[in-house]
Amino acid sequence: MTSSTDACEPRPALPFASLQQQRIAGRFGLWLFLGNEILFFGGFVIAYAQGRWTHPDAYIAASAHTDLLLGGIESLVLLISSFIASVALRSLMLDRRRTAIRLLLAVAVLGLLFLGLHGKEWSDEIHEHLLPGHGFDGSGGEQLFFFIYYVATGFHGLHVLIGVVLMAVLAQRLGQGRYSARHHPAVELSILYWHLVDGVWMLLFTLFYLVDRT
Amino acid sequence: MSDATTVDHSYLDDGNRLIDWLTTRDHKRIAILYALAIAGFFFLGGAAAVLIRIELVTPAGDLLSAEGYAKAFTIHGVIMVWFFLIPSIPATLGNFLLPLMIGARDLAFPRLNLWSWYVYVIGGLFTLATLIAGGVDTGWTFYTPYSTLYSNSYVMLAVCGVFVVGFSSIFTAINFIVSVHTLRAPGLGWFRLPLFVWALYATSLVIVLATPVLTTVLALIAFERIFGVGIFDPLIGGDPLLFQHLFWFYSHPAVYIMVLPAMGVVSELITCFARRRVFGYKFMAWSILAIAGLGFLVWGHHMFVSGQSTYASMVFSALSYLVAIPSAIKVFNWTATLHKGQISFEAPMLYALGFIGLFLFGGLTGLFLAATALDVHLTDTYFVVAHFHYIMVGGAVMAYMGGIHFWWPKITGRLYPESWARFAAILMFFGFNITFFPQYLLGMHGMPRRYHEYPPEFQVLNVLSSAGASILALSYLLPPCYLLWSLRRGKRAGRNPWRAAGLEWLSESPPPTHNFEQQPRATREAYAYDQLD
Amino acid sequence: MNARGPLPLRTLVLVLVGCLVLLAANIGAAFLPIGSWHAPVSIALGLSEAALLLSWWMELRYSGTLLRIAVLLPAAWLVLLITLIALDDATRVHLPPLP
Repeated sequence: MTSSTDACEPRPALPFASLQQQRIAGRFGLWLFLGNEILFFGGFVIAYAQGRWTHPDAYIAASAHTDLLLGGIESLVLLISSFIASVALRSLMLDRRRTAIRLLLAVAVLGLLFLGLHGKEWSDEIHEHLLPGHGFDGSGGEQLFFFIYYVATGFHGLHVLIGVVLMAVLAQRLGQGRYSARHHPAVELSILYWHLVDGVWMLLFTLFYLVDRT
Repeated sequence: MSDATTVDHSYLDDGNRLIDWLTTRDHKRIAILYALAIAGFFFLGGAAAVLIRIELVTPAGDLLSAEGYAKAFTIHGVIMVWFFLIPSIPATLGNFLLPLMIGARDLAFPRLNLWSWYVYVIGGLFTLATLIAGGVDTGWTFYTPYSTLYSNSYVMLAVCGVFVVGFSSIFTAINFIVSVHTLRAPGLGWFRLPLFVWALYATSLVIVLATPVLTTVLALIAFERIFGVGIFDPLIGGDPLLFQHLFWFYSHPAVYIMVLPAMGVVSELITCFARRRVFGYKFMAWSILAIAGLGFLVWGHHMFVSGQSTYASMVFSALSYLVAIPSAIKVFNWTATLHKGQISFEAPMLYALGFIGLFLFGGLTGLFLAATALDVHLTDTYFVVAHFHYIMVGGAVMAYMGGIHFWWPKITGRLYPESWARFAAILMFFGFNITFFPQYLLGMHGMPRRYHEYPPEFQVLNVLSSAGASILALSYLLPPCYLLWSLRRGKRAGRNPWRAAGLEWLSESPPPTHNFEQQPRATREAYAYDQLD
Repeated sequence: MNARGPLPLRTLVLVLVGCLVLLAANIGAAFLPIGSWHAPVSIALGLSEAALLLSWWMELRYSGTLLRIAVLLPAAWLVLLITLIALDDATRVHLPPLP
């Protein structure tokens, strides 16, 4: 066992009798929350699906306006960031603290890169008059598509932003020696969250960029 | 109570500056924070109800304008549904009792629990801001396209409040589910859990599975208002019915979020005051889960006249009848529990019996509304209003009051004055029926809801209803008075004044900070009154 | 991460490669002339990407039933929601638009 060099052994938080029990509870709680996230984004997917059902042609036209190149790069960025996050967790468990800090910061930077790229995409689309409302350039069905697109990717972006902040805070606290190789629930759970945010993007990318291309 | 040195100080002696309370992580103190906030909102929502009932004393719209009336019933609905009924039993009684009932030192995530309260307060502040800014007139259901494109009231503020408060119930629900799974005392298997714990568990599941969809739909409404067009806007090919589907996917199960904990409370009260095991424990537990599950399949019965497809309506109608089965199992089993019991009529028992009667009535009239043909006649009449008030006020609030009285000695260490409490319970039962029974008749005769005026022939029943409402209001004002009195003057309760089963009664009254001096063990089935007496 | 200790780097890399391949395949499939098969193929590829992520990086395959239920139940609920809405949409009578 790679016991950490910390002077004091980690102790379980209040209602728990052991670290093991605390870890199980923490993971279960977080997964329940992730289930909530699935349902939350699922609501947007249903709105998307109903619009597509009633306006198939408009969806094809609207989907052609999304930027596949930028979207593809964004997917790549998030996927790699997710990979790095899992390596960061592994490093922490092997007590390679400095590596873990660097990797967490890399995840945060990639998250920011994703947000920057997606912001670029948004501003391009707004310049093309694709923001729903007055002056929208296209049919009603296309407005439906872009409405859900903005709301869903907007909320996803908010999740990425929260993740970036989490990663930065974790890196800082890791530097202060707050987490040990054996006991680091905050790191583990935040990284799980980051993976889910990545997974949600995979589906949003598929729906908004790929399904109706050609 | 005694001066023995073994009695360590109770959770109430744990520092009583304001900051000690506002930063506490003790589930018992958080329960009290919740109880105070919720009581505040209850009386605020009640004030709106008073306005409504005064307006309806006369056929003419003399007290409120049509718009003012719309704002009154909207704020009444928003506050009572999201800021009172949904958190009422789980966040107060549940928060206080769940760890005690499962023999744990606290909920799994104490800090999240405190956050949940703060999030509730933030949501509440949005709602108060709505009220101060000038109110909202969409009805608590926020139906589109009125709410998104046409209403000139403060929809955004109200939507933000509900959006935020959803997170508080999600946090509480996650906490409950994880606690029940991981923190049960040794010997406390699933089928030894008190039914109140089962009910809270099922309620939490419903919250976790339904609330996110409400969050989505409220976000869509907010953005539709920002953009000026949107997914629910029929002018660009959107579908207003999609809103109703998503909304009722949350809001129908929300009824079970309100009534399942109430059923749990009633099971505790009935068994204690009949001094019997609950009849058919496993059936009771499974029917709680069945109600929670089936509750998700029936939302379309709110949409029979909305333009929803007839075939969908037929399916939803048939599924709605299914919910009656587990509900009836519960009513029959409570009745069977009473059979040959040594019944005593303390105030909590009066509330529990009141619950059964009113829930039965509310449930049966629900069957009327689940019938597609009859519903066309009854939709948006006072029949619907009466029906859901029987479930939510007659059911959930009666059980909440019963629960507060039952566990008051545990929470405060004092006994409440019994005869006053019985008087209030009986007054509440009659006041409630006089208020809402006439509304069934009004609805059958076709009086529509949500209007501030009505034809003169409806006046007699409306006056009766308003008279009942004043009795009901009195019966709600009484308990705060004598309960507060009992805080100083009430008799000391001792650990177990009702000689009730359940781990929570093994603890001191009021319990020490971490609930138990020693880790308790469950050695019996739940409700083993035959072994206890 | 659990009693088993951290996952080997090899596994983590393999999952990354798998996801990259699926992503490329998904983008590529968007340009194939397969007509109405686009949607199911795309969605299947996107979902399998997410499934890879869930089972390895998020360690669902090493976790207990409870955690799997915590993911599958919301997913099932979504299917339920979409099914009943689709039932309404598919059989609803649409009035002709106003002149």
